[in-house]
Amino acid sequence: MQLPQAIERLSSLLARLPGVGERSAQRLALHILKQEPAYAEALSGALAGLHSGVRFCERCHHRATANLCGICSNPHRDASLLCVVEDVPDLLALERSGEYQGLYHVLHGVLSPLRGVGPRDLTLEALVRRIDAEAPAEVILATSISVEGEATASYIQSLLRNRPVLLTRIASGVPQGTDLEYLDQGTLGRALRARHSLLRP
Amino acid sequence: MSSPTSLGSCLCVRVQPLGDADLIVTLLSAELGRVDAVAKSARSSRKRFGGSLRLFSELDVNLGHGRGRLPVLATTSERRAWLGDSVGYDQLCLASYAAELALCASQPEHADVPLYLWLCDAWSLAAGSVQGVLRPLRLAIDVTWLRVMGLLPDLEACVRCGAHLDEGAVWAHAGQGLLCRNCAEGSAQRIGLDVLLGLRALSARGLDAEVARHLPSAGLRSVEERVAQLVAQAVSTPLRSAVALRAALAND
Ligand SMILES: [Zn+2]
Ligand SMILES: [Zn+2]
Repeated sequence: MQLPQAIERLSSLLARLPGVGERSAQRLALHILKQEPAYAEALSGALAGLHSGVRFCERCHHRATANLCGICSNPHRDASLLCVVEDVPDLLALERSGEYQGLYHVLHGVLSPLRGVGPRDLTLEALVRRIDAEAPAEVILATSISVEGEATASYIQSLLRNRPVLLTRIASGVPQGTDLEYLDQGTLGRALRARHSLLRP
Repeated sequence: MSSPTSLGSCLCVRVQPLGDADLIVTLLSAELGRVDAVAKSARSSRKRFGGSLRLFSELDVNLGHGRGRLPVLATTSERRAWLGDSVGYDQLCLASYAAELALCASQPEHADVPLYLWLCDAWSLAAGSVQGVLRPLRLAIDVTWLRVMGLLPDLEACVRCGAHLDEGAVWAHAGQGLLCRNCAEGSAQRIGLDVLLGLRALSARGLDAEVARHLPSAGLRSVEERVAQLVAQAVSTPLRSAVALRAALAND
C-alpha cells in the first residue's frame, strides 16, 4: 500500500461505481482531497442522506421524495397516457425530448434470463393493477429495441390481452442523420416493416 | 495503429454494459472459441456498431487493439439474427438457456465447430418455438448438448446386459445409461417407444427441429428429469436462465 489508508478506502468504494476503474477511482479520491474540506463534508452528507431522502413513487415507481413523484403529482400531466420504461434514465431521456406529457411506469429492468431477471423482479404486477385501476386510454411500451426489450414488450402484451386499452410500441428504425447505405440490415429491416403511409389511393 | 484482425464469424452470446458508454460482448467464434471483447462507445453512439450487436445473432467480427485487458471490437456486421422483433418471453428463455449451455462448454482459444453449429441450431429452434412445445424443445436442447459434449448415454443397448432396447426401458438410477425391460427393477417410470425413438433420432441427427417438435409431450417427465440431472452434473454452476426456463415451463 503506497497511499494512506483513508485514500485507499475511498478509492476502493469509488471503484465499485459503474464505469470507474481502479486508477480513476484513485484519481477521484486524490481530487476530492485537493478541494476544500467543506466539499468532502458536503459530499459525504449528500451520500448519507440519499437512502433516507429518496423512495419509490407508489404509483409509477420513479424515484421520489414523497409518496408520489413530481410527475405523478403534477395535475397538468395527461393521465390518459401511460408510458412504460425500463429504468429511470429512460424516463429522464423521454422528459428531455419534451414530446411527452403523459405519465410513466418504471419497470426497473428488463426480462433477462441470462442475468437472472424474471417477471417477478420487475414492477409488472403493479403495472397491471394500475392499468385496471386508472384505465388509461393508451399504454406506450418504450422498452429498448433489443432482444430483451422486445421480449419484455411482448410479455406485457400478453399480460394485457383482453383488457380494454390501446397498447402501442415506440417506433424503431432509421436514426436521424444516417445514410441508409451504412445502416445494418437488422435496423433497416425493422425500419421497412415499421414504415408509415403518406398518401392512400 | 496496426490493422484489425479478423475473427471470422461469431455468435453473440452475451452483452453486458461496461461503464456509461461501452459494452462487453461475449462471442463464440467458430475458429477461436469463447472471446470477450469491448465494444467502445457502443451504448452512447450508433456510429460504429449500429444495431449489429444484437444478442443471439451471427456476426462478422474484426478485432482491433485495446490497451486494456480485453481485446476491442473494431468492426462488426450482422450476418443473421435468430430472434426478431416479435420475440416472445418463452423464446428468449430457450435461447438464453442454450447460450448459457454453450458458454459452459466453450473455452477461450479453443475452436469447437460442433458446439458453434449446435448453438445456431438451438437458436433457430428457440425462434420457432410456439406455446405448448417448450417442454420437448428444452429436452431436445439438453439431449443434443450432452451429445456434443460426449456425455449422452448409449440409447441402443442396455447398460447392464447389452440387449437391444425397445419398449419398456428405464433410465438407470445412477443416470449413466438405460436398462432394458428385463434388467429394470422396481417402479421406475418406463420410457415409451416413441420417446426412445425421438431421443435416438436426436442422437443420430443432432438438433433437428422436426424431430424436436415431434417429441411426444406425454411421457417425457421421467426422461426429462434424468437428462436434466446429467446436464446439471456437467455444468459447474447452476445456470441463471434455467431458473427462468423452469418458471416458463410451469406456465406452458
Ligand atoms: Zn410517479
Ligand atoms: Zn438388460
